[in-house]
Amino acid sequence: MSSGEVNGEVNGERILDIRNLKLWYKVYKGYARVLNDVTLSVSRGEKVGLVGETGCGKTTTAKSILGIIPEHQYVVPEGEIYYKGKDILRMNAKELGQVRSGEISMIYQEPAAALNPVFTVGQQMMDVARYSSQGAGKNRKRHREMVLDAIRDVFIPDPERIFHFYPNQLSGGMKQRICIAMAIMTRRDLMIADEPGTALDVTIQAQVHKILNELVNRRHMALIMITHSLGVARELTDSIYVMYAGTVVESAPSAEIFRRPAHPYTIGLLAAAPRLSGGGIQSGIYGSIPDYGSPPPGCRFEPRCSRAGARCKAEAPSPREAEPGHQAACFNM
Amino acid sequence: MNLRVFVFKRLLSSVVVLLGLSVVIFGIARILPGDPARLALGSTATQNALDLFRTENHLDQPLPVQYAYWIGGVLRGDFGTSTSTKRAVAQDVAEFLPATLEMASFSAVFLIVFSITVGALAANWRDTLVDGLMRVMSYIGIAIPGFVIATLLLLLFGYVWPVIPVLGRLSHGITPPPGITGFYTVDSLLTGRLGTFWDAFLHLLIPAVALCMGGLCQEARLVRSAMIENRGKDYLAAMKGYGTPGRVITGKYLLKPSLIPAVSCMGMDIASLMSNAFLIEVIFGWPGISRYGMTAMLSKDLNVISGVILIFGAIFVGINIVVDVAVAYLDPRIRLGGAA
Repeated sequence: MSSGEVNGEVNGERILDIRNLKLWYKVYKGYARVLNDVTLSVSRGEKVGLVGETGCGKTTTAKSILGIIPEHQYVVPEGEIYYKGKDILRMNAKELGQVRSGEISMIYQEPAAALNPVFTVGQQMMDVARYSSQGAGKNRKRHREMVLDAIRDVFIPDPERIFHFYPNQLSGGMKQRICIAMAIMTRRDLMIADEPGTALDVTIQAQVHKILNELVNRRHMALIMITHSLGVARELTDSIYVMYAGTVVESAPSAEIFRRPAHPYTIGLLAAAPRLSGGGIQSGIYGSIPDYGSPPPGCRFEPRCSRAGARCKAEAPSPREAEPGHQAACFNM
Repeated sequence: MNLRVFVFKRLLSSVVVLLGLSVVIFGIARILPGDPARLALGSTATQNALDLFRTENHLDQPLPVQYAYWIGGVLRGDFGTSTSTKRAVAQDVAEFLPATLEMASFSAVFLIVFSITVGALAANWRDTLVDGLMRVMSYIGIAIPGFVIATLLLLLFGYVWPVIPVLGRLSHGITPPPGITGFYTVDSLLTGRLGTFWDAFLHLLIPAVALCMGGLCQEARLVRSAMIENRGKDYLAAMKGYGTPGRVITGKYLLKPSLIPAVSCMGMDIASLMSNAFLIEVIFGWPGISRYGMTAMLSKDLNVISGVILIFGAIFVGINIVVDVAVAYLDPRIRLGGAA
């Protein structure tokens, strides 16, 4: 973007900077504070993992970056989302349109739900091409080439045939690939991948990750990889943010998280991961994610935490440095 | 994928349906109380005349033979003679059917266009005054029977505020256009008589509105609720995220899947427009086939009853095929057999 504003662009490398993002969903009784101070940054070409259990706000964070949570479902969020120095939450419709069509792209969590069942793959992708910044001003023939190239890029043989298929004629793996093809059709600077391949079996999932990783590398895109699996995050990312109940509880370079986890929740997650050597399935973390309508007043992890003390009940911890480049939000680390 | 195979299958099954219908109609017409010969010739007819009438019309033969005579004629386009108008049923139908078809077609177009428009507008401005007004209006439209709406409209435009004509197909002093299709609006346009077209159009307006009001309100509600239900779908958020403009998302990616429930319901309503036309035709003095058919029932005019019902049946089946094709076009999951 050509904006002269440099607010938030700390070292010139950083393209996305989310600060203290808060967001409420409208629920049956009032409002649920689903995002509670999410702070996250991504540098150019960096691969970032966003890890946490289901319902902790990973997808909501991703969708608020693009501003695509349906209006009737949420309250205008608080905080800042700087993209290349400009706050997305305060952009006008035109600027936001430019970000969506030319800057940030997203692969959606559930490929079956992200594809419109009553339009062919080709019809949908043609519109994605047409309204992308690189498709503007081009004719239908050129759009079609963009679409077919993208389908080829995710290793689907015979793109001309797939072009005329409806989503329900495709297998789960194919749908996932089409979703990736849609997202990578034009080169953008940031890709958000929301649990790609989660709905698929392990081999297909590995394939999908490989395709995605190669495409992102080849195009020098930054990546936010949302996953509930620390293993996937370790394999694909440079740094990891661990989320719990709408808050980032720990962030560090990926290897660091595994070498020396600081937050009790991360430690619990790591302990819960099944290992091939070392005796079967591990103990999980006791309890479940709190009710967002009335979360615990202090630390949101306190009711499930083995280290919790009196202070944790009363006060929410802010992130602090465990060691350089490694932050965690806990009083007792 | 292949729409042509789909249509062919539906056509084939509809032939079976119509054959079955013809048997049922024939049977019912024969078991209605009353002697057709007596009703046709009057109470003063002699026994000889009655016997002659029965022989001429094969009424003295067993029922299967009567059916064979009848269906053979129907297949050649001969529905027999009306005992009350003394003319060929086919000739009567040719005269009365276009009037009803014109009103029903006009009504159908009105139903489709306005139910979608109104539903989409209400969904777009949901929970505002516009939406509230439309919802209240639609409840009223569904709750009040068509003939009451017709009577109210007749009172309004025929007496209180006579800006639109409400009786018959044309004003006095205007000669009908030459019969090409039998639709006055179409015929007058084809022969370039714009004045006649406008007059015929105005005469169509109120009966057509009264006829489709219930269906229109119902389908507008279906369009509205489907659009509201679908607006939170991931595929719309996804398209939005790729930079597709809002008007394309609403007008294309939201509208098409949201039309499916309404279109199935529209099909049934449009198919029943013909039979619901009877009271409307009586109220607005519309010289249509429903009125003709109903008169025949009262005088046990067998050939007319069978002919009219069979024609209604054929039209109903025909419209159903059109609707099935429309739904299959809108929803590929149906024509592809739903396999995931």
